[in-house]
Amino acid sequence: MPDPVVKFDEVVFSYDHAEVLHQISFQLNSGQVVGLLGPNGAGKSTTIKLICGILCGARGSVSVCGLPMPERSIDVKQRIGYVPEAAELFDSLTGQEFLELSGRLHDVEEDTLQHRIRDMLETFELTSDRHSRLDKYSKGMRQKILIAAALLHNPELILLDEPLSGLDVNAAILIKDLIAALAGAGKTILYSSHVLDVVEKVCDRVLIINKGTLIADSTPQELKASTNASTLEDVFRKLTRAVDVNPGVSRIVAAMGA
Amino acid sequence: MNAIRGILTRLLRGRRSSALLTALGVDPRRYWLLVDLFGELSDRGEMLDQLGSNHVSLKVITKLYFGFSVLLTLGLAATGMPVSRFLSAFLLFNGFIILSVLLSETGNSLINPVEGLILSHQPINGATYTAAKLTHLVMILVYLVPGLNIAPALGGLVLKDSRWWYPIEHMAAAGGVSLAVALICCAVFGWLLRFVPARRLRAVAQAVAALPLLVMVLLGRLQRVLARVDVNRWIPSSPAFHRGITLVLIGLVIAGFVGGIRALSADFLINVSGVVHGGTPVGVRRRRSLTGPLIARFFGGQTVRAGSGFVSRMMLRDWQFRRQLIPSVAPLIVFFVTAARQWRTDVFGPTFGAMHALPHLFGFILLFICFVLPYGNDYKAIWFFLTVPAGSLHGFAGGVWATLWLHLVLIPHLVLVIPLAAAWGVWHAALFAAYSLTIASIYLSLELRIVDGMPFMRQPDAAKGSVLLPIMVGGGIAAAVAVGLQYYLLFHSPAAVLAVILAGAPAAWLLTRSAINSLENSVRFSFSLATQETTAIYREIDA
Repeated sequence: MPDPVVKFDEVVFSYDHAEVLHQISFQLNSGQVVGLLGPNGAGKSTTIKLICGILCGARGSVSVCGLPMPERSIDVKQRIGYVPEAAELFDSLTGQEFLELSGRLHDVEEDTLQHRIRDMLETFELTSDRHSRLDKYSKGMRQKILIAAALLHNPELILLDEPLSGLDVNAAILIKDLIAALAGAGKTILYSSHVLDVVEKVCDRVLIINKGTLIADSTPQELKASTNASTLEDVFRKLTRAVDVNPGVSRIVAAMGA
Repeated sequence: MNAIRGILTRLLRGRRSSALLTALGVDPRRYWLLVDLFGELSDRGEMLDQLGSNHVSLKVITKLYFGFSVLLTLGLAATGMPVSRFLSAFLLFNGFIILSVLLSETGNSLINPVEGLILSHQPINGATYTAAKLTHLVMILVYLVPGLNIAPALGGLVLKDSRWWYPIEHMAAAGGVSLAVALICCAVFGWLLRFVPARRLRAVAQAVAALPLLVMVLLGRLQRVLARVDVNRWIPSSPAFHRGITLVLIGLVIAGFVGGIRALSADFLINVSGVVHGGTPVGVRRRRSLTGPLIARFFGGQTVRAGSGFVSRMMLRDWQFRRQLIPSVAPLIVFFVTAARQWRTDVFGPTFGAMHALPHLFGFILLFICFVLPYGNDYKAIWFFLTVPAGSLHGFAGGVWATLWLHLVLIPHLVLVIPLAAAWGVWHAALFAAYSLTIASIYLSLELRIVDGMPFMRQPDAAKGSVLLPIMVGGGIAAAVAVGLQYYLLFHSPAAVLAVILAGAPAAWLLTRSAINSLENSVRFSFSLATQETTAIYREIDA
């Protein structure tokens, strides 16, 4: 059996003495599309940041592409593509310049880089805006640039933190198809999102984190069967013991009328 | 010129310098990519808050320091002092200025690395990123060292015991001192990044940036304390011991440098996320605002309270605002140290004391605050205020004034009047407090007019910061003149002071009303600029 692409073994992580991940263990294997779910503040983004080497100091062991983290984080960063949750970009660069910067930092050969940038911009319908500054881009356009930057260097592992945020319907469909195609090409994808029906469609395995603890690790079908739920949303609500939202809704409406 | 630049570029980016960079653990290819990126970002105005990346600001500051150094050269050369003392004095001056500027810059560059967040998942090692960031410190030296030293290097030639090569000697010594100072700054921040928890890093960095000013202000007192402690009594007098202790100290300093720089270039980008986000505590302690309900009740309702609450909280929490206020610490400390000895001296008595300067100290500090108030870390949140009903802006502007007046003018005076009444008697204390309150209120109403836009909603601009020094000097001179005038013309007669209060209070009220209107207009104007820009953006994309 090949080595897992990501291996978390009893990982504990704290921010300023507040433990946010409690002994989490899981593996991601080559070619899998794995959904990472959890309520706000559950530890999803922390998990992703530990994988891509922008947080250190975790107890337990993390290895990515067979390399120990954070010791080999530079090598790991060369092999991963990361779409962060917040679209932080250099606003004064143009889309073309930002993609060139990202590709060059990953040592992509110049001709290949320009070829890929051209293809990506065309696919994402950004060709005509490629020489506009990023501060003039809409949220969806910025998100497309982030996704393109994450894929330019042909990474083995792709980490997507809310990748559909701000995208229009056509672009969202394109990304979903792209995820399936990339997985077919052997890429491993970790997909963090709150849009559960999309996760159900694109992922062949789901991890659910609640309050820093991994509470589920299975296929969407197995999870639905084991919890007697008809949708992943119901599974999520049952496993995270989400309270019935209706009283809260009524309270907000009542408060607005007060 | 282009040919020279081409040769330099080839030399710097050639194989030999690449080999040197590689030997230092720096990836040459990515290093130059980052240097080019930072240059590009600064050319396009995206790194305005960093002096080393802003050539316009550097030129302005260099000219200012050149002016200072010319005056200092003339003054010292006129005394006919020996050339060795002349050189020492300028090296000290150069070292102090470079230390003050670089500590602040290194802190801003390393502890507030917005671009670090964007680059943190890229395959860049810590040494490469740090080397690229520190290149901009060298840029500061390239400008400031000649600006500070050309005048004294040439001026030293007129001293009687100097030789023809003195300018070369002076420039070389100044360059060496400046480089050593730059290394000290890097080492200091290296140790801070290694040992200080992320959530305390920003506050500690600000304290470190204020240290040179504190040392300068308290130097006299330190010297007196050291003179009292007879150090020689505790140290053995044998030459062998002295040699040993000197060697140990040199070893410690070198180890400190090397260790600090190594700590800095350890994987900085892994920690950058923790540094930026860890600066904020997990939860802010919830404190019930005592002044909030008062402001809402007496100054005009909820919109006033909104302005007051926003400004008072941001003043405490905004890193850029607090950083820009650091230079104002020096006059405050000077005042408190002096006032601690002289506060019992009645201002209506024959002796001049520190308390005479109090009303104008308020003016000085408020000038500083109003000057930096429009700039903040979270300037991109201006969109939020664009959605606020326009009718609320007058109340909001009133809230900005109310919070400054209440917290920085009224409450300090109310607190002050108690000890003053015990020392001077109730009548003199109340009269002085009322006078100081009136003058400080007038200052605030005048200075509020320089707040040109929504508080905290502009990107910090190093060019603006460079104007602060002449404003401080000018403000200090104006305050000194005002203190002198009031001492000679007013404080010999309580009746005259009372008359000034009676005339000044309504004037302060009228000026305040117009200042609030002026602030509201500034805020509206800044919104209109932002809105025009936004519309232009959408037009461009639609087209």
